[in-house]
Amino acid sequence: MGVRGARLILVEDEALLALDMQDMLEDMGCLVVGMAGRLDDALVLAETDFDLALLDMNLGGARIDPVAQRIAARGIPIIFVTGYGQRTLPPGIAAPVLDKPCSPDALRPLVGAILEARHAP
Amino acid sequence: MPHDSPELPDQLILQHIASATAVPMWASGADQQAIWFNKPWTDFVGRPLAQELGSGWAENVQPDDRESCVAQYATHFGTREAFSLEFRLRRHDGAYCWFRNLGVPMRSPEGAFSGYVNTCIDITEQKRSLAALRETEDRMRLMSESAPVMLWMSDAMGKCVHLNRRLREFWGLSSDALPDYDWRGNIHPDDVNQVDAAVQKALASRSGLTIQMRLRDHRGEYRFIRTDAQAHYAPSGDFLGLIGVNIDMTEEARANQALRRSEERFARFMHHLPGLAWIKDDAGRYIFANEAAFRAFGSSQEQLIGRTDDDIFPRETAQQFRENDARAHKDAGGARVVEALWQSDGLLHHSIVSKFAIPDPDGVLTGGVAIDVTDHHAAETRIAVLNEDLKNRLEEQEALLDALPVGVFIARDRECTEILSNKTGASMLALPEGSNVSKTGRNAGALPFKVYSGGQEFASHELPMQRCARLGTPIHGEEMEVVFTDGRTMTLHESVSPLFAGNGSVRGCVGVFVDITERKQTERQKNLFIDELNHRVKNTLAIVQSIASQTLRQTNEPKAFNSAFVGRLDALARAHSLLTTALWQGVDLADLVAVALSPFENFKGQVAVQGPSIVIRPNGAVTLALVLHELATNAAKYGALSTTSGKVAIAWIKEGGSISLHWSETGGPPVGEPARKGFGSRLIAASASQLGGTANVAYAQDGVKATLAFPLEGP
Repeated sequence: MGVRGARLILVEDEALLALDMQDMLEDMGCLVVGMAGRLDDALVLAETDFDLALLDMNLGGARIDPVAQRIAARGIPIIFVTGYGQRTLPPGIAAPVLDKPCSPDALRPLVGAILEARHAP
Repeated sequence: MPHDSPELPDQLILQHIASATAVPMWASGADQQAIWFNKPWTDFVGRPLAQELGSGWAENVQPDDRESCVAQYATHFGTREAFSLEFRLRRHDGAYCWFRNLGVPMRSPEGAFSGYVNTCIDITEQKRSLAALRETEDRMRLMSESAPVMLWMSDAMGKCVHLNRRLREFWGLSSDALPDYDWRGNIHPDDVNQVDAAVQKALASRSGLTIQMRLRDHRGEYRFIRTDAQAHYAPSGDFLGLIGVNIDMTEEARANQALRRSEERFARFMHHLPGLAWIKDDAGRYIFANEAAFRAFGSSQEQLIGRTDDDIFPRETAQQFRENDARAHKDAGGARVVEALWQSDGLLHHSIVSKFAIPDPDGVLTGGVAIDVTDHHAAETRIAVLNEDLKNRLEEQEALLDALPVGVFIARDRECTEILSNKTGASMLALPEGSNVSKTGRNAGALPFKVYSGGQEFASHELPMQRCARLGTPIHGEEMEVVFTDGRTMTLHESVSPLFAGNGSVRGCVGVFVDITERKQTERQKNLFIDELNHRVKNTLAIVQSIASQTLRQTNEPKAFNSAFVGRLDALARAHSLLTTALWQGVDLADLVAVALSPFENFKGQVAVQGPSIVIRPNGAVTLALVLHELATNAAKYGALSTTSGKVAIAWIKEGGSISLHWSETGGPPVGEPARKGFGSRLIAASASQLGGTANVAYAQDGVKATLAFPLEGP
């Protein structure tokens, strides 16, 4: 499967950034099926049906780790977004990291590659 | 002779003369027959003349003497020489008297022998005194013989006439050998001349003598003899010689010699004694002092002996000596004291003095022996000064230690079983002063803290001081965390240096611990701040980028873009200003509303704001400011604020743990649901999502109504 129609969730604690990211993803043809700005909301969202998660590594001072671990455990790919150079991944998880603010030019090929790889035969 | 006097025949005259003498006289013829007796004879014997004539006279002679008397008398007639004869003659009363009969021969003018004329001299008294003398001499001799000393007698020429038994025994003589005995041969050769001279002098001057000499006894051994002799006179006054007494002084001489040797030894000891020595009599007068004492006292023998301390020394010194003397007499063991004396070298000397009583027939003496300890004393004084100095320095250092704002810890053994600290150190560890703070000490378990490094608790023997003392190497600039049982934590920065004993082995260590908790917190805060700043800058740039891209999505007409973009950036900037003023610690919602609406001052009368004081966190505040900006901008463009009659009510209430913020427009132009969702309504929805709440925007007939509800504890 390609990018078009892919179901994504977005976890971002900055509302304006979340909106912009949503627009970018939707411009790429993806469907943003869930958005959360708080950890407990994100944990609920992690259990829903989606193909890729874009996770801010830090939610109002709390690490995203439990959410990322849950999603990784489900075998769903993750792209981390970090606001201030945080590079320490949650233990046991391998995933790409993008710096904020992220441009569509950086986001698009990464999302595409991941989604292509995920559903390759 | 006168011729006119009647002449008498010669014979008659002789008879008258013979009768006139008081001495008995008689005469005999050549035939030995008595022919004449004078009257004193016949008166003495009391017999008639007729009985005396012939040989009758011999009947008066004492029978014991008679035969020898008559025989001797007869023999003289053969020689016809003058003679002397002694015999006892019976007086008329029957008593016998001693007479010496002197016979003188009678001769005719022609020289023919015609007999003897005899004169009798009464020698009774003479005989008696002689006998008495002999008896005295016998007694003297007996006494001399039995006397327990050696006695001798010489004649006037010095010849030995008597040696008593003791003296004979001394020389081993029998009495027979006496006349030939040459005692001078027994004088020690070295003494002969002296003895001779003394004896000659005594004889010549007829006086006594006293000499000492060595005399050899019968065993050949020389003995010390003392001789005392006196001149000896006869009753007539004639000098008879010397009578002497010899006393054997050998034992005494030996005792004297021993005493002299003992005294010599004593004198030598005293002379070579490294200290002073003296003896005082019971009146405190010096009777002996050794040379060291003379020197120390600055006195000569003449100046010191016989004087008291008061005579020689200053008053205080003398008093000091006297009092110590008295102490020595009180205690049988004597007194041991330190006495001070200005000596002749001009210095004050201190001596350890032993004083003691010496019982003596003349009273109790006081002995003293002193050792000069001036140098020692000076050293002691110096040590005392040094000690005082040292004590002061220690006190200063202790005061300094206690005043130091850092903890100083000292361990005095390799295992650090006891670690003591200064005041700061104790209070740092919340312990009373003087506590043993060692984790390897006996009461380690009771210490109210644990020590960590890098999140791991230290094994007690690996603690900095323990490690330093064990390894003997200094530790510089390590940090450790102290966690107290009450949960408080403290960060310490430590430097520890080992202490070495004289033999080079480690005997402990000293540690300096500085509480850097505050510095650490400051550092952490600084790091947090830098992180936060970094985060915010990036976040702000991301927001600006989002605002730009969202604004661009609304319009690509430059003028409209510019107006909307600048308005939104301005709202963002005002929110930041407010947050900066509040040090990014959160802002009051009322202030946030006021700041967000500040560009719309013109509509002030149409806007009503109401709500309790509620603190909004920085992240939410920025979003809320942007939301309020969008709502106000829309109201001014299309809503209630686009007409003068329109009103906007902004109100919020607190319900349980949530805030409910209401934006309500009334009196504006009629509004309808927009064809597509605008930025404002999307932003409100996204805000709700960010804040963990819900949002609702309604396009009512009389104006827009927006509600945003979110939990109070939201981000």
